[in-house]
Amino acid sequence: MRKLLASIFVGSLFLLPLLFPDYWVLILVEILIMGFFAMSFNLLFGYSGLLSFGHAGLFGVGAFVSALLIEQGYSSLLVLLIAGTMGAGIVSLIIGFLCVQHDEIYFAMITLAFGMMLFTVAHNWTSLTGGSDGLPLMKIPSIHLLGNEYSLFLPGVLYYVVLVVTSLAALLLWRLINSPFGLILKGLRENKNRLRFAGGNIKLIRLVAFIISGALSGIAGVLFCWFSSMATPDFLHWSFSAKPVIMSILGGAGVFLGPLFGAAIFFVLEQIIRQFTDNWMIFLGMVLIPIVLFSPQGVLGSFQDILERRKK
Amino acid sequence: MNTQAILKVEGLGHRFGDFRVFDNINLEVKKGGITALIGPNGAGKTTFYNLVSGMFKPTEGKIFFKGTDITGLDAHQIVDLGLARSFQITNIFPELTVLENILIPLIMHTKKAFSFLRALKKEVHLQNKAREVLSTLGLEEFANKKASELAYGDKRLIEIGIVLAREPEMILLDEPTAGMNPAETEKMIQMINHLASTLETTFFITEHDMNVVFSVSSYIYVLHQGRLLAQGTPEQIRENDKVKEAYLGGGAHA
Repeated sequence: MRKLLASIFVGSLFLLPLLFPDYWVLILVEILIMGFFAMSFNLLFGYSGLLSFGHAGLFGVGAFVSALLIEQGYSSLLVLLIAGTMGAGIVSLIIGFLCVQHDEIYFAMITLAFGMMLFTVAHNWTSLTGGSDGLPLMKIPSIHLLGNEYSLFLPGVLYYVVLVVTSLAALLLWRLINSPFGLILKGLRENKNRLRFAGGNIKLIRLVAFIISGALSGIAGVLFCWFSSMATPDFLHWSFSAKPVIMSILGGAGVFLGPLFGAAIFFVLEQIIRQFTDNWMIFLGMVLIPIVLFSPQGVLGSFQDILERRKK
Repeated sequence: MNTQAILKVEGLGHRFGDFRVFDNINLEVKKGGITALIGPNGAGKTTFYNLVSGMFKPTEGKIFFKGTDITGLDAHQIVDLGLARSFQITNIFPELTVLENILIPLIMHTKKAFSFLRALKKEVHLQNKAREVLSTLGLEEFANKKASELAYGDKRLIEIGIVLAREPEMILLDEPTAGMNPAETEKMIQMINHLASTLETTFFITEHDMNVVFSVSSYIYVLHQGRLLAQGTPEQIRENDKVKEAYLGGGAHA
């Protein structure tokens, strides 16, 4: 049943670009990328109970690794994806060691501090990163299929590439949270002390979760670099780190697809409200506050609760 | 060293700042059966367990488990060596199912914590083992219920299950009947007696209820004002004048 629903969901995502104009196809691309970024973040937030406020730093590493390699003439999408994932994973390993010493507000503050440091590096290391201008892509990579070359500059092509990559990565994430490791993460969230006295090395478990989450955020960063045709320090800014937090809470941090759903609400709402006013953040706040107050499981989480209650 | 002793504590002492919780505790727990640690409130029983189980490091003295020096090891390393504990205040995974509560220590026990891609549902061995532990405790019918939804006494049993799942050679039970009504207490005592007689595990329990202590344990240590006041069989302790005095003077539960 679950597999059937998942297939229908992904299948309908394949049909979407046929129904929408290019402008909306690009918004769908952004929803997929940011939604997957938020799902990677949510491995820590929703599943392990660790609120990272510096995830944009890791996302940005993925974006810059991709932009720098494209600048060097690398054009294989697979190479760019693997390099971006590894880059973000290695940075996660280095900073993670200090981040995982504590949890709760201390974890949030240390990740925020590292996020700000990564932003500053990207902003001030002008010779490498282009400073505040960032690195605009001179050449958008393309994909080779059956002897033809399709440029990612075309919204439809970009959409399908992003859809395939995020679906495969989300499948990996799904297997992860349903593995023994996934249950250990939930145990960490529920009661770290009991986990420790059941034999869990708390800091090591946190570190492994941090590296996986960071590496997956790197994939999102690589995709976002292709989508934006550039990498800029803005991708690493702490205000960018707030996005996955907001999306997870909007959609539901306790549900696998909650953050993706939150990303969809976020961007669709933005599109609608911007037609009337530039002060769209005021309206985002007006949506966020009642959700946190009255439906802390998020939109998808509450929906799931209602379905389960009906079943009973 | 006496090969019969599974746990040996030498000159153990601990201070929080200037406050000395206890000092120079020497004791040995023999392999098998049930040994008890008793003492009036504030005698330092829970602190003693916290030191032995690796919650924190003692400021003085040494702790040996199966002849290995475990002083200063972290809690998870001590559990891996075969010494597990329960807590006075119920300590479980409240929002997970009862089955998942038992699966977590089993995953740790079988070293599968970093098994990333295999579905937990397909780990048949773990699933069966977890159900086995639940049936030992009479909790099988609640397997798929959320742990927080169970009655108090059953939550305490889940905690015993988490400990048993690690198949430890020695179990520290910190006040296993704390907060229980007489019926739940009776059920817990039967369970502990049953486990002690069927498993080869050594039990070391603290307990405020003297009837429980005298009925289950074969050897008793008495802790009072941070010192070992007495030790002996239940009969010896029952007749010990110093023990009577400590309990009567200290507002006894007995």
